[in-house]
Amino acid sequence: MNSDTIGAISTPPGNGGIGIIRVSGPAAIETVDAIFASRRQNSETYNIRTAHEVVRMSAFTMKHGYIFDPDTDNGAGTPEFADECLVSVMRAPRSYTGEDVVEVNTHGGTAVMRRVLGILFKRGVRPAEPGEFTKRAFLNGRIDLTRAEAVAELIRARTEESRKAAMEQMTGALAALIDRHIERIGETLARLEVAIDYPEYDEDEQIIKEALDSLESTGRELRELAATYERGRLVREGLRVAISGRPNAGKSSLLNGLLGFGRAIVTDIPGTTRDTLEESMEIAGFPVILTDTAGLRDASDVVEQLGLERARAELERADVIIFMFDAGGNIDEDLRLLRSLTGETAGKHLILAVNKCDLLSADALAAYKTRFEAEISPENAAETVYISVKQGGAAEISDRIAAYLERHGAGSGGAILTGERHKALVDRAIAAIDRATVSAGEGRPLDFIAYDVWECANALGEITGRNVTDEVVDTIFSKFCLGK
Amino acid sequence: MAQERHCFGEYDIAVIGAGHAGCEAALAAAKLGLRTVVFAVTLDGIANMACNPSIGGTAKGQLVREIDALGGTMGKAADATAIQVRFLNRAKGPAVYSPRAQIDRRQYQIYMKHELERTPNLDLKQGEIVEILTETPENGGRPRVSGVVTHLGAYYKCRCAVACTGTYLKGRVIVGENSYSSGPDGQFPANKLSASLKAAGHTIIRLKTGTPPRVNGLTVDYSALEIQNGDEPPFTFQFDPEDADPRGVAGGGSQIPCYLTHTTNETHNIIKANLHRSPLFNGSIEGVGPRYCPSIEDKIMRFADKDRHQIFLEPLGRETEEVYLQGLSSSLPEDVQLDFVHSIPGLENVSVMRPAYAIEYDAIDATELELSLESKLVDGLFCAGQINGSSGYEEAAGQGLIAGINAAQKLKGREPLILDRSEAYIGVLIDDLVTRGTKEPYRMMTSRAEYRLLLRQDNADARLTEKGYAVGLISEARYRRFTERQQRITAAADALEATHLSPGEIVNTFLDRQGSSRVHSGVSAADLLRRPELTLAALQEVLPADVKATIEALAPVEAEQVEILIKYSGYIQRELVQVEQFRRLEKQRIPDNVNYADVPSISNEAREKLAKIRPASIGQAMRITGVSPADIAALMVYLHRFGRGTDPGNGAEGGERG
Repeated sequence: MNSDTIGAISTPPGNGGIGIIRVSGPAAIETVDAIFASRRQNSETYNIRTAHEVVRMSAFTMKHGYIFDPDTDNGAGTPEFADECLVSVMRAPRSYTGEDVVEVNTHGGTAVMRRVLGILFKRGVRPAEPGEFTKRAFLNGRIDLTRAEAVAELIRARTEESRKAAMEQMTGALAALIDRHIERIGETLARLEVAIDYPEYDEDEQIIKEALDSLESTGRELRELAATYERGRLVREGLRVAISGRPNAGKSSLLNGLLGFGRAIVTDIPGTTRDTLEESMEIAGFPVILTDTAGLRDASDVVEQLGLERARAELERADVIIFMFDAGGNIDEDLRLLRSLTGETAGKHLILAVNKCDLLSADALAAYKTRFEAEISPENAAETVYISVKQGGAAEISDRIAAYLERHGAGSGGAILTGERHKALVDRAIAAIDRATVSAGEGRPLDFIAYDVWECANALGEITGRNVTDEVVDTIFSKFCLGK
Repeated sequence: MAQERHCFGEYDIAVIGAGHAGCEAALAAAKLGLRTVVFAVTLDGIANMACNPSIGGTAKGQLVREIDALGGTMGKAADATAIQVRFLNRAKGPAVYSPRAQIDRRQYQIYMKHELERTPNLDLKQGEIVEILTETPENGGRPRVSGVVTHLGAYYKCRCAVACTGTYLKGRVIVGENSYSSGPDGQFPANKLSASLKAAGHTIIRLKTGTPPRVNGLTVDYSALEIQNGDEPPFTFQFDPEDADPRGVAGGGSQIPCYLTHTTNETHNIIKANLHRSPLFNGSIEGVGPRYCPSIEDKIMRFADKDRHQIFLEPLGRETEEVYLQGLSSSLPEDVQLDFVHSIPGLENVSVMRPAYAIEYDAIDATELELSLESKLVDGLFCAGQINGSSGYEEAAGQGLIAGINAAQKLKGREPLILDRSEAYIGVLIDDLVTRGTKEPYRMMTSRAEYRLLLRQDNADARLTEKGYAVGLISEARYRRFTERQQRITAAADALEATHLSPGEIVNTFLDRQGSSRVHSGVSAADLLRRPELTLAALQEVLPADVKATIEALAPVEAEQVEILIKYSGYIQRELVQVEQFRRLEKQRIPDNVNYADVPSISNEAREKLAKIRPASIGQAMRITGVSPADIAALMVYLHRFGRGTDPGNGAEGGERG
């Protein structure tokens, strides 16, 4: 039973200082090896896919490096990095579970850990069942026999507990939604199976067409559901808002204005904020993490250089970026900087804040606006505010963030996907539907299309613990008119 | 008691019933060298097709191929007596291609009876078995089969018995308000054996099935009906037909067509007006009928929105005009039947020869059997076919073959032949019946098989002939031909993988003509074959001469396998990964002597089910309804705790065990 490899976050939930992801099983070492890269000494390049550094590690040692997603590796040696980490290796039988174990120590932060786990899951690691590490430890003789009874109870309790927890984790709306999809996919399968098992059934073509239609809409709805994982993340971890712009544009003032108290040091000397500052607050009932990034410019001193690197990294992590313009400053330089950040702002919600408008006359402001709007996209113009932070302009920004949260976070109160196991299963179901749809488009025969539909049904069935096969057979008999 | 009776003969194995299960059981046991006797209530009822005159179809065709691959007889008999063959599901994919044959029903019986007569070690006797005798071993333990007794009191000594009682066991036929004690098709029932099984501790359940009317084909007006012809050239179920029997279509016999018609509004009105006279609706039938095989009145009530239902006309043989009306199964009174039959296009003036009827019969709860099909309660008693809750000739024959083989294996002191769910439909069938039981007659369907893409009709010999050979049912000569065939298939598949085609004009103009996109770098022939729009036959055009010759040397069935193996290799690989996971759980054996009362922390329902079914492996335990993952975890811990669990082939885990 233990020849598959399992993984899970093994530190308690929450944003601790460090997070540990434990991977156990025969493929633990090679799987982590495939997603781990160290940085070459004195170089900006990484040992990707070449060094087998984890495989070569001795037991009970640690190594520093980066976790990356090989699917994003285009061969240029710059895949997407999930996080900086320390990796430790324990080899069977001398580990907690008695199997090969790799522990990935990340910087903590649930989002980062989930990202790393997600990469592992894509590469064949299975989400660990609750109590499974303990169970493996026991089965492999790593736990004293005198504790056996207690362990049996523990495993039983954890399995039960987790099922309850999983059920509670699933909001009523989510359980209902998954059940509805299982039923629908079950009916789709029943249609396909009838077409297969009863060749004389006279509504063949109609059945196939309807099955494909239903598959398409199920796929769409599951995708919508998968997208709520993002909303679930917002609820759990908060919205990350990064404030950016050239030095002295008023970033720190905005941060303070939003927070309503003075946290960041504000001076008139450009470049005062050398590091990123992070503050938590609540907007529209959601947790929001505000970061004030260092003023971005070509910094010469080393401390500032480091700050800039972090600033860019922070922009990449952000959900929303507030980019500040100085109405009294050099509009061309502000625009140039904004354009140089295209990579960092891609896919993020961008709010443009033109600050210090109180310093301009009405005519000058109108001229600025005309000039400004000629340079930016209509999309960006729609998300532009003309404010003066000093005269309470932070409120307008707060409203914009609230509006964003309204669109992406709050609202409906419908089904939200929060558990990572659920997310992995929904993703599996979606991937299966995609394959089935492609197969159908390619004109693959029905049994191969059905293969992936079964996979989809089984993945959804795993979420709520239903035996889909039995239900499909029941549906075949109750909904279709068959027989001699 | 047994010693006082006059012994009429002494056998190793007595087979009770000579239907589709009994024939396979008896033939297998005798061919494996065991002295075997087979009893039939009447020798004129051997291998009778009491329902439709056809063998094969979806999932069932796969079963027939498997029976043939293991060395059974059904495929051979069907080939010899087929009057029409068709491949169903050709458009739906290779996993579900299904061979089906219309059979000359009488010829099939004669053929099977003759096989039984001329097989060495096998005696065929007319007689109803009324009792299975047992003796209790001196050291206690479960009772052991010691003999069987006929209705005339004749006693035969035997060491194993195989019960294949079909629908004979306390059979009761129902037609409208009339019901009477009867076997199928007007045969005598077997009314006494149930008591013997019950006395041995078996749970008796009551099942029901039914069959439609037969009419005289000369009175059918075919002009309005849709004709269905057989496939040309005809195929055989046998993988290795030694010589084609001239009576079957593969041996040159002509193919006889079937016809299709439909019920009408009038049909439905007649049935609705007479529902109160149906025993199904007025409660006089107690047996549970199969949902997949509803009567016409059932269909009309349950699917009221359908304004018509298909009726297939299937001929019963070459030397008869009798025609079977598939789709008109019914237990309405005979006068209502005549009315609704006459309301169907083409059948307006038809002469009904045999009315439709429903039949109730006794069966056992198959969860009281081991996966070998031997009873957990009586040592040496095997059961196969409808007695286990299955339905269908092919399902019966598959179980009969396994029961016959395993009775022989037992007496030879060998391990039973158990096919798992990833190896054969026969494995799925037996595992479903034995692990989960059934409340209605169980019909095989491809959707019941998790590993359908592997359990294809084309590769049944690759899956099972090795096993049939190991057991002793496959001759040396046939085994040699089998291995040569497999080598040809492997060599051809390897050659296609190894053949590199350069992206020149020859290949690209070929691809243009096939409506396939051009290639810009070299590809293997196999890669091209994986494109849905390209076939092996088409690809021949661009293959190098030697590879082309290799492919051309393949028999059509071999070429089919090569094509499927390559074309769907991606899916097949995915399924093989799942099978590997499945096998690991099947390999974790649960010892026979586990006392489930001692296992801590499992639910009462699981405890009860596990104690009753006594699964052989963790995998089987997981399939029992009512046993949760938490129960399985607790069971596994318990097995390890007491050093009882063995986990062969998983030594690589590394950890030391306590």
